[in-house]
Amino acid sequence: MEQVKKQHHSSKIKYYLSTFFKEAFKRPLELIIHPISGWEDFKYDKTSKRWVSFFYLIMMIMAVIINKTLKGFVVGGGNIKDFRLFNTILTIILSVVVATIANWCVGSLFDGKGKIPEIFRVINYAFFPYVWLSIIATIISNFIGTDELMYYNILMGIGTALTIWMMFFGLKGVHENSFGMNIINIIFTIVVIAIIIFVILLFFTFMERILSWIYAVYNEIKIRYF
Amino acid sequence: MKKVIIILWSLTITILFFGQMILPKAAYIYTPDGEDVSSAESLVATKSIDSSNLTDINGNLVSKNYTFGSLYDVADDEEHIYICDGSNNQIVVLDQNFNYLTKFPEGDVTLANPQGLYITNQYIYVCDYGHNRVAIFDKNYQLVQEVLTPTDVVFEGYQFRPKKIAVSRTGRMYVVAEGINEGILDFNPDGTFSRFYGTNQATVSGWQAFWLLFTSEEQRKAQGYNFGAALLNLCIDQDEYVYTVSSPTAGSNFIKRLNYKAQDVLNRNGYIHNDGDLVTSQNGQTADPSIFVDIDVNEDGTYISLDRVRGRIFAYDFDGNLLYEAGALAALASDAALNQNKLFQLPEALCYFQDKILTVDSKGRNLIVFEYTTFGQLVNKATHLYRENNYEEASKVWEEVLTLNSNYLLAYAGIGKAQFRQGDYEEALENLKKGNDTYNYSQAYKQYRYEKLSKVAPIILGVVLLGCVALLVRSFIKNANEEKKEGDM
Repeated sequence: MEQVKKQHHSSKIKYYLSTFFKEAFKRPLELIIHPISGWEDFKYDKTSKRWVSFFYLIMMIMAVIINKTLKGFVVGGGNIKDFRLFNTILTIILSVVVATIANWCVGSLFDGKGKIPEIFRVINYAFFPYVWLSIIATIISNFIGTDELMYYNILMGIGTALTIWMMFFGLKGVHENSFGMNIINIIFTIVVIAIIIFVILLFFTFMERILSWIYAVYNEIKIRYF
Repeated sequence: MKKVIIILWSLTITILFFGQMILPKAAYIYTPDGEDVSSAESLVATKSIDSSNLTDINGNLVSKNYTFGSLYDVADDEEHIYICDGSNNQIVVLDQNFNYLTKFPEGDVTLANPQGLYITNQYIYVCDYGHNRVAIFDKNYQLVQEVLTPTDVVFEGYQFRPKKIAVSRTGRMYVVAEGINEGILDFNPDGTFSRFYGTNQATVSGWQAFWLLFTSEEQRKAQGYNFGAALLNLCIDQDEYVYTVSSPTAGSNFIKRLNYKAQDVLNRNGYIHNDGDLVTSQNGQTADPSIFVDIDVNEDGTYISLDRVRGRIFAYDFDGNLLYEAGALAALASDAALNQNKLFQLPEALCYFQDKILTVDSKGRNLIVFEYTTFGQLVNKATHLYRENNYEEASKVWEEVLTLNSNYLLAYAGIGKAQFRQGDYEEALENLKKGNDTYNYSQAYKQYRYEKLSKVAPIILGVVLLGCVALLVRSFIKNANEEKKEGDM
């Protein structure tokens, strides 16, 4: 009886591991290799998983942190004085959120079929190549000299390029856009991102003024009546 | 909703905490990140010689006969110091103890607003600004030659107004003149004009070029011409390379080292650009970049340059590393304990003199003498040894430097280089990392990697080989067994 239970337990781990491998590695790889049909399945056969998208969002943060803190001296590492953990996390999460919202806005204007969760998943799935390649590159960067820098640069470059590749076809897939339409979509998304950032900054300067005004009124009352 | 608000507020806090760069006050040195950290004092103003304390050899004050006017330049040979007094139209000669010897010219020969000086073994070259000539005197202070406006067609209608001069070993004169945008005037030893030299190229940024597309012909005329950055001063080193300093409109590379073909060959391998202060803002306002008004170079290839904006002397080694900085403008000095006489009002020129640095001030009307502290002497010694490729000796000196100033990253790099050459790779890597010397770090790391790998590689190879042999034997036995089975059947 005990043996059976144990066996069951180990098979469960096995099952989880194989599912993890399938969802977090095989599927994104398929999406890279089959950019058209892969993303169609992504949308209609619901081959994506929510936990994978969150996993890669977290992994993206991890990858950036690992790269900033652990990269070799020859690629500019060894100096983590300017590294801010909180800022790094916030920047990545906020940029994903802002990009999702901006793309959804543009998508709805141009008759895109994508919904917010889908766009969010596309962006996070697209981090897949960058995450793993940058982690590999970071490890390698500790064992190279300056004349071998190209290995690091090539790995990082491929990671970035594949991420852009996945994002492009992913957004094309979920919005069911044509190739040209998708380019226009992305250009407008960038513009909208800029507008959103502008509005946020405007909001904060406005808030700052209101606060200073409240403070001035408070001071005025305090000095006048107390 | 609560979370969103928290996130947004934390964003404001991060925006508010963006740092401001504030001008450093006391002695400082820049780190590779462009941050200023305090350093030990390297040069101190020990003497200020003005009309009130200028004495002759017998110790009598000379202020009855002569008082300093606006001093524009200072130069020296082995024995004497020559000061160019622009408002009294005189060249003043002091001995090496800063006693007044004489002044010239006298009699018929006069100077008018002399601006620049250069001393060779035989002659004294004076930029006679007001008389549109370069006057050449011998060491008996007699006029022997004058270089007038060049007769070339290019100079038609031009008044030659020389400001600064440097002379090569062969007697070629390099003159910086006012109103000339083509570069340095290069004169043959006989005084005939040879060529323009070391021109600063006029550049148009991408943004300017973009706007030029939308401007009409008249608008462009109204905007005026875009000239290359003006040359401010020059000096010449023992290998006949000409060092020039340009106005900061050049954007960067204010200091240049020109070879005979006027190509810039200055090493810029320092932690930061050798353009003086790195300040971008000062109390919320944009600070001016350094304006170098004079430059001098010594035998070690160390060059010192004088910044007029903040009255600082910057010393760089031949590799472009900032060694130290010193001096201050009286208007900016916060430290009341500093002797006001030993601060700059409007610094004009500097030169190396023996183991001191001399500067002159046109507004303060004085000659300020800087001497090295122990720290400065040690840095100079180490730089000298390093220049002679004597890494081991240099590293000993660098260690002494570090006891005086542990912020001095260059010293770590120096020690690391010596350890690398001695084969002490692990220590070297640590010091080179501290000294931010990527190139030597990489070299040392490769040696270190090779050393480690050569220890491990035979074992790995052996294991792999054994594995291969084992596999081979196994398959061989298997094969044999199968054959045997077939045979049995």
